[in-house]
Amino acid sequence: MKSLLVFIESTCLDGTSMDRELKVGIAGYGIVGKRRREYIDQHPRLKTVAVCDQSFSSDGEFDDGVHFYQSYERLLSEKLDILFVCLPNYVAPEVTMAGLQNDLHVFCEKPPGRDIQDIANVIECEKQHPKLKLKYGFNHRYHDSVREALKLVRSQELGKIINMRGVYGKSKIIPFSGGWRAERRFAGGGILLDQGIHMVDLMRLFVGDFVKIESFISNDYWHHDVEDNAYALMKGSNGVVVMLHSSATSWRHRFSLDITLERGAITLSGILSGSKSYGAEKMTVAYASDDDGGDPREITTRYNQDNSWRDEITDFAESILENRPVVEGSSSEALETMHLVYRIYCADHEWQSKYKLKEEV
Amino acid sequence: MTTKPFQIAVIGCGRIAGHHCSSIAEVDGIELSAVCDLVEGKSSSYGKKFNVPFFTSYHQMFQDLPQINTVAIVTPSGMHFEHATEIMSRYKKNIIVEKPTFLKPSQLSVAYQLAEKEQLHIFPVFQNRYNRAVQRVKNALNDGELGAIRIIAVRVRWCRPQRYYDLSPWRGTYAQDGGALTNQGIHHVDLLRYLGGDVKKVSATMCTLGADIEVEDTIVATMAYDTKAVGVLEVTTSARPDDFEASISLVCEKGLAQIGGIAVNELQIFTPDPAACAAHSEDFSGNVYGHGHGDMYRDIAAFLRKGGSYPVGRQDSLNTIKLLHSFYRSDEQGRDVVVDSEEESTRLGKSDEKLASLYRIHLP
Repeated sequence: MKSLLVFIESTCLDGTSMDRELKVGIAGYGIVGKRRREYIDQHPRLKTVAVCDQSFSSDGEFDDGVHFYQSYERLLSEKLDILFVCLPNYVAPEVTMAGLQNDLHVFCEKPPGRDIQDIANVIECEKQHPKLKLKYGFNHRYHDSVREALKLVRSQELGKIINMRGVYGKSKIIPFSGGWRAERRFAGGGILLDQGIHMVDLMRLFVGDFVKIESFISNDYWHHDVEDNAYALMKGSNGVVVMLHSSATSWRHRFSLDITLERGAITLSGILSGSKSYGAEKMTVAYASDDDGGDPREITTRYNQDNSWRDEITDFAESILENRPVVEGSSSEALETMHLVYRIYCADHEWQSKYKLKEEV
Repeated sequence: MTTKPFQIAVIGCGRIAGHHCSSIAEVDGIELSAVCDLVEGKSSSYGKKFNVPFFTSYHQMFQDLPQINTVAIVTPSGMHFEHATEIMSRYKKNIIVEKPTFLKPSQLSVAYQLAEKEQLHIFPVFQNRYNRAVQRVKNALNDGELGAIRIIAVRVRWCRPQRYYDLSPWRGTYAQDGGALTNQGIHHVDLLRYLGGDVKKVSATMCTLGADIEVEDTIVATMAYDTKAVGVLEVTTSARPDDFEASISLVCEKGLAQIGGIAVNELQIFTPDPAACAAHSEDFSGNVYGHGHGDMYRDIAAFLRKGGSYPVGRQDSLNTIKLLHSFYRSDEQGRDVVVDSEEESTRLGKSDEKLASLYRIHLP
């Protein structure tokens, strides 16, 4: 019954059958765009047919027949079904909206833009195209360690969450390509918006809404006009207290998330990434007991494959092929996460007033 | 670490409990761990059928099977709140609640506050939302295929004679059941919102025409939506000698859609694409509850295992119960009422300790 339903509803906007390969264009063909392509082309129903990047010196065709363009406008002249947007924050919303206006399903990398107004504009545009799917790339929700931890928390085996402590850090703001990340007019924010947003998103996933936020935001080390450190202490509506540190002065790349529960603790340390520089992805579960003398029984699981990129793209493809709503990374989820990032910024009143930041549209 | 399926228990072993049990059994990642009913014959019947332990007290059940993670509450409607709050506060279990989720909006708010404090989850059951006919119309409304809604009409003409209400003490009471609108019409009330958006004002008249019961067996009402749309509702269990119709139809800018069948399972008219009627109708003969419970349990399993969000959230379920109450409030006050109000019906969900004591499960 289910497969019949899928077949019936798998039609394109023009009414033709979607029982064929879906043509994908990638706007932004840097490190992330190339990595996305690897997983797009592994999917049995997706095929990259064209890409664009400002670094190309001309338009042309790769040896494998994929077209490349210097501008996204020319990319959009191709016959596509899906657009992947892997561009800097200042152009991502514009290209996302252009994709929707060209009747394309769109997958856009995080963050959804420079500020809340950017994502609000995209949501207005999305409302005009209700048949199209829009998903944002918050791939950390798809990491096996995160999924296992969430499952364990939801099992209530270790009781309620008491608190969480998350650290996500790298050594500098300007990474591999271009300097846009270090300039407010292009990026909108620094390390918290660029990388820490993943941790903020996970904190929302595990805790829910936050009612009280205190923060310190600083650019004292790198002296860019965006932050190089963000420290936040937040309280959830369910009483859970969360500490967050997002850093661009962490000389060893670092990801760690400690979740303390009533009868034990979960520690996620390391996360598999393209550079493999965040250490092995591990989850350690401690089972507290009255007689453990503070040295509880622990079980550590090491995850040696990063399935997050593949699973995220599979999920997106299924939402199109089965015409079901986008759940993880929907525009409303992205808006909520972006809103929390800006509430953290604005909780430091000096920072908020220095850069005239707004936590609402 | 939890690698085993999430354990789910069912309390209340009436007719629909078997449907919950079989739906749980067919979904990966969750497992039926026990059933419970005050009447041993009822719990043993499902226990034996599904080969799981059966209990007459959930206190005993949670003591014997602490690994239970989530509980489906399928008890009389008026007991949902008491059972839900005790199971969440004392035993820290997630809850799945049959329709109507709770009999009063204030109960729903208290239950969600408790769930938030205990970091638990509430999964209200509105299985008809999953029906293919409903989904086809929902998509057509979202996509603009039908255009803006002009009129929504609900008509439920069913037969529930006196002997139906005499089956159990809770039936036909304001404290435990509610009348035709709450028991039989609740799915249509939910679809009024699910398909049409929130209703602004309601004017209703209720009466009891076909049975000697406390509650209404008949209601007629008109509605005005937040948009320009208007609606009309007729729900009765006083039709004789049989069930005739349970339909919802939508007059829209670009066409007409009508869903009928025994459980909004047949797309009967769909003018933008008449061929969609056959493709989006399901055969529910022999199973009035349809296939929606299986889809709902798949959503619950996915939520517990992978995150994401369960499709029916707090505000959504609150608004449906508020809409339900507005029909009763309008009848009580003899005038139009605004749906989005803190006011509640003075009748629906009223307290009756004597009746509640029949279904209360005391600590051992």
